[in-house]
Amino acid sequence: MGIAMEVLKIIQEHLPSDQALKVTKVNLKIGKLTAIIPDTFKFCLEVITKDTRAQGAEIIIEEVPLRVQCENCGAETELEEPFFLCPKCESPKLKILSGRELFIESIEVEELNQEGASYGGD
Amino acid sequence: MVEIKVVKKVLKENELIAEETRELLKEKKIFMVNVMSSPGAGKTLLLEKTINQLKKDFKIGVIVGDICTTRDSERLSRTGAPVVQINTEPFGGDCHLSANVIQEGIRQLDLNNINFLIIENVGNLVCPAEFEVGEDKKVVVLSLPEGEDKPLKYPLMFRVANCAVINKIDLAPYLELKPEQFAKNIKQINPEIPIFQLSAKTDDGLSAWLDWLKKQAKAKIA
Repeated sequence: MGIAMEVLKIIQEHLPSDQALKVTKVNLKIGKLTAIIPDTFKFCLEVITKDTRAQGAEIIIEEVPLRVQCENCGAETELEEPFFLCPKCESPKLKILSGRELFIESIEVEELNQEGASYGGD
Repeated sequence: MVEIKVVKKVLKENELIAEETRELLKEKKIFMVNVMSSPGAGKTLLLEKTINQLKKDFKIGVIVGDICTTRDSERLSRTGAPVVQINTEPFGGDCHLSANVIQEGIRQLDLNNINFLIIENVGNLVCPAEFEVGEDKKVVVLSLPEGEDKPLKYPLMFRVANCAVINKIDLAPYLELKPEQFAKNIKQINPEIPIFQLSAKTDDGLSAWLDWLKKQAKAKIA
């Protein structure tokens, strides 16, 4: 939930305040090795964006696979499960290349047609 | 429809504040350990025992996070260490301590009289793993009754931790669980992590944990 609040804060910082806009889509990039469970996170965002300009926005989560590089043999692999041993040489010395991302990529906005138009779903 | 490019790390602000704290503690030569676990894993008892054993060697301060109540800080205050209680409820009932909350807690302590700062985080294996607070070491406490599958279910916590404590090993005879299986599962996520099997209740295994912690603190303070 704390993370969802940060997302909302960033969205609001990026919206021009002088225009009647509504957010229709939020594009997020989230690694597999994060504390985020996509469905739960979407729900948190739906709850906290209520009565804001991002209410009803579609939440798109692009999951980033967990990729590691072995510091022993150099092999690069994608880990399906978080078992941190190099599949090639079984070394535990693995560097995480991707999977820890927690990014907002972009937001899509639409102008509200009339002054005072209500915030709504899709 | 217009697309606005943002490309921003969601926790960037938290990381910046954590970095400020890290700088401050470096300047003041204060070691900070962040202790995390699920609710009821035995953090508070482990910390009571730890503080009582280490208070002759270090000037200890504590920051305790809970959603509500001050029960833990009351218990920890009895050790004589200064304790700052943070209830996250006024901050929205957060399930973790974020860097700004810790920064605020540190301001309430007399840093000239502390060289060892312990954070007892909110009981939760999920969100605290994601929030850096400026600590030197992260410790995760897991207790036997929680089941040996927890490291596999919450891999991030066990991956980011610098040390794992398996608590309540005195209950092993009553549970059909082996502490070794817990250790094995933790090692799958984090093969090089030091693991201490102990019982904060009976003190069994406590000394190895204390030795490790002392060594980490001395490396920073000296």
